[in-house]
Amino acid sequence: MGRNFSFKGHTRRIARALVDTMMPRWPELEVDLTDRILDDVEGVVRGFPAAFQVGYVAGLWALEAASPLLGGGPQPFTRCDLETRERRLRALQDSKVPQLRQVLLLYGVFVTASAYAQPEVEAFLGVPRRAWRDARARFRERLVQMEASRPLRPATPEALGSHGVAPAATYLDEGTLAAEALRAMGE
Amino acid sequence: MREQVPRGIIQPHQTRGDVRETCDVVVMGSGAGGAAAAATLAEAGLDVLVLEEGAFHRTSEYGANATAMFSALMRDGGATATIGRAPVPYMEGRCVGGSTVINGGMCWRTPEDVLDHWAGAMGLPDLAPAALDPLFDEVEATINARYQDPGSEGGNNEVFRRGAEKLGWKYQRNKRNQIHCVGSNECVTGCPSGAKQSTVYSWLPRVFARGGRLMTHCKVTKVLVERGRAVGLAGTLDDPHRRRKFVVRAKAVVLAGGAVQTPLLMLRNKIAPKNEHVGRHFTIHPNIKVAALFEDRVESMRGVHQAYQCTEFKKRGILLAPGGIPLMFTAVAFSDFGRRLAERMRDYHHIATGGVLVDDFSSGRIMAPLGIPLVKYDVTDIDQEKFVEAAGLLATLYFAAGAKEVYLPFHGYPVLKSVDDVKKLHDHMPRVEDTEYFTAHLMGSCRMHGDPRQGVVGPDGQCWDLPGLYLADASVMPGTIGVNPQVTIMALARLIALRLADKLQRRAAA
Ligand SMILES: Cc1cc2nc3c(=O)[nH]c(=O)nc-3n(C[C@H](O)[C@H](O)[C@H](O)COP(=O)(O)OP(=O)(O)OC[C@H]3O[C@@H](n4cnc5c(N)ncnc54)[C@H](O)[C@@H]3O)c2cc1C
Ligand code: SF4
Repeated sequence: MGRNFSFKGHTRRIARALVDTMMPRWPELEVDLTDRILDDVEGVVRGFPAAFQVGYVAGLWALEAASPLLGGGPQPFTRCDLETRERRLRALQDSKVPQLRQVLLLYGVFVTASAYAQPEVEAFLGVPRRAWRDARARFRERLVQMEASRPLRPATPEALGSHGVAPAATYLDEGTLAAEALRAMGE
Repeated sequence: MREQVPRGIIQPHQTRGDVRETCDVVVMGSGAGGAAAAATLAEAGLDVLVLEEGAFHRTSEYGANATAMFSALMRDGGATATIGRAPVPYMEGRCVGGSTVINGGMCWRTPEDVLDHWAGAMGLPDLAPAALDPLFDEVEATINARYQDPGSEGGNNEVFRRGAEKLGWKYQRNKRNQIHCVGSNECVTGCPSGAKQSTVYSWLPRVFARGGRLMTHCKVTKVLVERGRAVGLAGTLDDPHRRRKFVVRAKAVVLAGGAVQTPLLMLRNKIAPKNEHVGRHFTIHPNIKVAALFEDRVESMRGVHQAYQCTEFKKRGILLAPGGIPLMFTAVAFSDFGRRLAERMRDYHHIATGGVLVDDFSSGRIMAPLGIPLVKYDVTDIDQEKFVEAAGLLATLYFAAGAKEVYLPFHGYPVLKSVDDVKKLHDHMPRVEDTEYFTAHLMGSCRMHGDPRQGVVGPDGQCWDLPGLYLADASVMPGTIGVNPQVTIMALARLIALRLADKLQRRAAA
């Protein structure tokens, strides 16, 4: 526990089974991201205070041992196939007991946040977030450079860009288009 | 060129062994309140030392791996929540710059009716609008509170604006603390372009320019008290190699750890044990998120997090706003998982996200039984009615903008297909327990009050029960404000610091 926390032994198997059930899957995307997401989740839990870490692991074991009560036979969670595991988690998700739903939500947040930030998932969904971030940072660097050569900066709350630094129509274009727009303005 | 670590920042590798320091004023926390107070004090010629629990990160270190950034920038990796009828997740920045590094950058002054109430009913005439206006001016100039560059708003804001216009509802452009925000929409994990003017780029450079210092990785655990007066702070220096201690003695002590950590420290140190207001009156502006599916592409990835707010229902305590969030947070917003969520996320490009923020009548409490932090907050049924009404209003706005479907964060509630479905919302009032809330605005847990029996600090920010101890963060807010709080917090912190500087200077002259 503490800052050396890691999922060990059977706890790791339960955590892996949970990640495997909660992560997204598309028939067209073949890459297996389970271990990468598991590592991310482990990293997040490592940042928790020790008491939370204990609670998190206890929750995993409760799922392993008590989930047969949610249907699909007597096997513990890790021994079930994907369909059964998913059915059990859906039973929790639809539970009348709000606390059970809320705990499931907490476990799901880390898996979902990690999964949808994986480059392969972003690429599959057509969201080039990393490239976008980089292009935007470069674009801003050039705006700042251009502005430095201007005699006056408009006072707050005026928008800086309203003084013709970059045209509104292409402001959110990818880096290259924005750069072209800047060139067109005679930079 | 690699960004330099500002001179003035002292990291663990620059010191050896246990640290002992003296200064005029020691400040705990480098977020909205702490940094504004520290800059004001340093500019008054005082020797200021800021103690910050978190690390310093350069802009280039605000990376694309969201879960890693959560761990690096937030307390407990961002996995913090209130307890009560329904948990309300919240986040606290824990890094140089505090929550201003992870916030959305919206800048609003405290509404005048709120200030009138504080000045009148709460015995705080110095907080009257006319008195605070010059401070708001200074704060806004320092943090560059500006309108967005035209064209940087993006589709998520555009559908919101379109809906508000169609309905004739009043909406306003946001000012945000930014210089050329280029709409990368990653505010919550640290602005990767350097546009957002967190305290790292606004107040803290002013501290360093006047010789002030900031020590990172210093977790304050103890307020030093001698002869009934606060005389310093002590705690642990989180050196990756070994745990070290620090002790800083000062003429005055300022706590600015935020609305959760400041009262926690006071409770753990049994400061003002008889003052029943420590940790109470805690408000959070709870909010809920709403998503809408459009025929056309929305492209939430491109554009600023929030460019407008709809203030049409402000008098009823309801604020509607777009809230652009990156892909992973949009996925989280649906509170689903696995293959079903994966299918829905195929429509990501067509999904808009927004939220409603409600002035809360309820108030919570920060507690530390056996030193363990507990943040208790219950959404009341009255607030819940407002939430349901507000969710319906935002759904109506999205339908006016052309949405095909609207998703509400009420467990088991069907997807809305038209405005007619909105009308049915009140027939099956969703319960508090079935609602997914979120908050980013933690306030008022050590409130300022003109009457020592009614608050924790007086108009000068000094604790009624412990001379020499000043509070200058969100905890001192006298009540809920109904708008994003960073400008209010900075203005209050500056006011408190100006008074303190004046007092120390007069004392020195005498
Ligand atoms: C996701 C998010 C979005 C937001 N969006 C907006 C917005 O758009 N507009 C707006 O106005 N507001 C917004 N806010 C709120 C705003 O950022 C905060 O209200 C404000 O920063 C609080 O200021 P503070 O000084 O009280 O605390 P913080 O800014 O949180 O600073 C507290 C600092 O104290 C340090 N600290 C705490 N305890 C200790 C200790 N024991 N020892 C040493 N250091 C310690 C912390 O590490 C932290 O750096 C947002 C907040 C979040 C989390
Ligand atoms: S939208 Fe992007 S560029 Fe603008 S402040 Fe947020 S992170 Fe920075």
